[in-house]
Amino acid sequence: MRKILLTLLCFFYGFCEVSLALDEGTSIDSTNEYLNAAFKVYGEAQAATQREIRMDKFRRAQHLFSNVESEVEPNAPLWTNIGTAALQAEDLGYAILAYRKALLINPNYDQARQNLIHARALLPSTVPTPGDDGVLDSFFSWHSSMKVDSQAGLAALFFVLAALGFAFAIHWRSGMIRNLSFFPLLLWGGLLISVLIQLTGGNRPQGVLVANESIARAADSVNSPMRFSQPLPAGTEVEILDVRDPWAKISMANGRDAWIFASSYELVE
Amino acid sequence: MIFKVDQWWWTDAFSNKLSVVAVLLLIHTGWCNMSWAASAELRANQSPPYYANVPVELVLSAEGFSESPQPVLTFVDPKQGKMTLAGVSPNISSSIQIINGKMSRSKTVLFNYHLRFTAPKPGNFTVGPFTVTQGVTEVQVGAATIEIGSIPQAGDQEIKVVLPEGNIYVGQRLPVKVEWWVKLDRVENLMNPLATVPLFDLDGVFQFYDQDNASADNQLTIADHVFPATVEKRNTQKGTYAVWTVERLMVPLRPGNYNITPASLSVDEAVRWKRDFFGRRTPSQVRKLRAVDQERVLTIIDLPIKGRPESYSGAVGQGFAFEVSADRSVVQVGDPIKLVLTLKGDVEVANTSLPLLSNDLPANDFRVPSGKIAGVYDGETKQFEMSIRVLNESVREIPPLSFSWFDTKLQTYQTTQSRPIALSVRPAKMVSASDVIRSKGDESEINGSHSDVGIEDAKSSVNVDSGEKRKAFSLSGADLSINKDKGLLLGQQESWLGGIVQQIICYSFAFSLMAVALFTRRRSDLDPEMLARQKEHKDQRQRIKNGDTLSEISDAVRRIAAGAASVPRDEIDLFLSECDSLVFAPGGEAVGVDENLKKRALSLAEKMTPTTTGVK
Repeated sequence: MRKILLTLLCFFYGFCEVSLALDEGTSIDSTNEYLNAAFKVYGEAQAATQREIRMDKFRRAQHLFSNVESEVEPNAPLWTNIGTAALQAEDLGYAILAYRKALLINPNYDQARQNLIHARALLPSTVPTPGDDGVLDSFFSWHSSMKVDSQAGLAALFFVLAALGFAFAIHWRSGMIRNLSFFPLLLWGGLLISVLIQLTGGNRPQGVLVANESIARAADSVNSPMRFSQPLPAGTEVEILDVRDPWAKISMANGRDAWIFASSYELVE
Repeated sequence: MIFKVDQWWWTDAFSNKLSVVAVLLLIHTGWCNMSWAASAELRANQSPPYYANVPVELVLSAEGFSESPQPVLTFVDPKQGKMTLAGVSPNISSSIQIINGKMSRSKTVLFNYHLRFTAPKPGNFTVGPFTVTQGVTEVQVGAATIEIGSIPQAGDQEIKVVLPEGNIYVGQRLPVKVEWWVKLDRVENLMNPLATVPLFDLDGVFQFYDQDNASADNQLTIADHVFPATVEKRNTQKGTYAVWTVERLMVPLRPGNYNITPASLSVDEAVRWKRDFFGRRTPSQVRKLRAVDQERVLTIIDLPIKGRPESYSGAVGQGFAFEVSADRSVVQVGDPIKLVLTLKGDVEVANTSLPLLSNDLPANDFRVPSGKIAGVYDGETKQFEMSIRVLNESVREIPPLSFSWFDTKLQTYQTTQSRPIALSVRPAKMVSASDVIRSKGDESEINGSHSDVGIEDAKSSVNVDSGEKRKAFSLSGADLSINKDKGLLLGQQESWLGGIVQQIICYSFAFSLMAVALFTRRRSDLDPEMLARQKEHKDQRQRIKNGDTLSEISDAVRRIAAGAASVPRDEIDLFLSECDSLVFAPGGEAVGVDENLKKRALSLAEKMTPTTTGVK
């Protein structure tokens, strides 16, 4: 029995090492140059005293960080850097979009959350923004504070824990261990349901307007009347209800809907 | 008959004709500085007689110069007449000669300068002197005199310069026609028409434009240029004429009275014909004929100063239209607005410039670029693009812009206006030190208005335009540092948790663990005696396989039979007795084990399964 268990443990450890080695296999030579250039340009922008030069260099830094993003696995720190450069360049649309993407990857990334709240506050007060979480949302905050992959991975670990408990219970005929093993099994089930809900939940795609001014219309035609008296500014967060190329029907946080050009927004995905 | 008439004319005309003697010359008194071989000569490319207003082609040949650079020809302009350099044709030839095995090589470089001299009237004219220069080498050709005669007047031809009737104003665009009338029955005998229109040469007084004429199916040479011409048949009281017409557009540039030298046309008329090798009729003798227009005086009137509007920018004509479009209508104060001003008209708009827009766009409300705006003419319209900036948020429209021109028919100034363009102007976004710290009042205002107001519907919101105050772009509340951890930014330190490999390993490990637990549990549930019997059975079978002596095999069979659940007694006894008889026979121990005996022993062991009783 001991030999078998030792063999299984060695097998498990060996596979973990292999999986980590596979994750590290990405080439980073080309992205390092972009990253170094982005750091340098961002530093120059902060040191610049003339507004036009500052703006230009922040935009350049944003572009360089975006180049890095296209080469590596999406990660929250990088999207936060993109958002910060965009915010410095006074590009609220791309700043909010980048912070939203960062929080989608890592909902607990504090800098992205802080800057997103600040960027939303810079929008005109007439633009509705997504509201604060309610009591139930706080209670189930783990559901949204952990990304789907992590939840699935944690569920697998709980399943291993439950299996270990059941194995010991079977081997040593221990009722207490068996009963204790139901606890990780319940956690496994809860996490699995959460993952399934998020994967098949059918949430509408989210988007952020990036065009400077998007005229919201009452129908998908340039001749239809304007839905609002003012164009929607960049940074307005919307839900995409329908897409009829080149138009898209959007819904804002206050429930109002309108038609805009599909090229006006970028999806948060 | 024709030949007789022509011959008569030839003899008669020849006697009356001015004797024209060409003087041509090779006068080289050049002074050669370095190149003793350099020389030049001047000759006529055609034989006399030469006529007034008909170019005389001269060729100045210079040789002995280096191949490059090309020598430069300079000459003194004739006091009367016009001398032009039509072109240069270098001629370089090399030759190699071998005589009695001795090779000699020579190279000749010849530059031919083609000159064209046109005399305005009959008489003796002096051309030259000429100088050919190449570096320090210089060759001079002395002046030569050319005798020019007059061409007989053609009675059955006319040349006319046709101008529109009425007053002619500075800047007006006028169609001008040059018409060459020829009696229809004489057309076949005429060739090489060459017209001279002095009006076209009045640079600085008139400007001429040529337009594509799709209906032009013929050509007429005027001075050095070949113009497209239309040919049509016209009937008059004098008879039927073929008329060549060249059309140009004339724009007077300066006011005043101008005596215009009459236009003229010279043409070769065949007076004797011959047949060539292919039987075609070709002229063997020609004579020059000339047609002359009447002299005229053109009066160009300056545009009146009285009543000239401020938006007048020099356009003359009729039927102008002026349109203005803007690229955006919702702007902030200071934002640029790109204006496209389109000018259309029945008349030439290519040279029209924009009026001063500062008259229509007040300096308090708009910033207009200074200086002239260049327009783009596409053949029908002229477009001007410019950027203006709104300086005042109270501006509600781009006011009508004015464009004025002088109407030559009405003889007054006319003005047209573009349509106004509605604007929505918002206050500018100001970033200053005061924006960094937000006062409490501002905060409460923002928080208060941030609740659930949202963007109002277009119909219901009345005060949004004026009531919405754009927030200052303050970044004091943001964390503007950037993460410089390359491991994080390049995704190298991402958690392995959640990877598909990790999940597969976990679930595989868990199921394996459960399987192992079940297996060990089952094993532990079995009777140890039964396990011992099974082990004994297995060991004894191995002894049979590996046994070297009969006593060893028979012992193994007996042990298996002892622990077996069912034993075939007869077969066992028979087998054991056979083994014993062999063992106890003389020398039996030394006898090897028969393979068939081993197989029988293994077969018996298969039949004797260990007892399975005794499970807990």
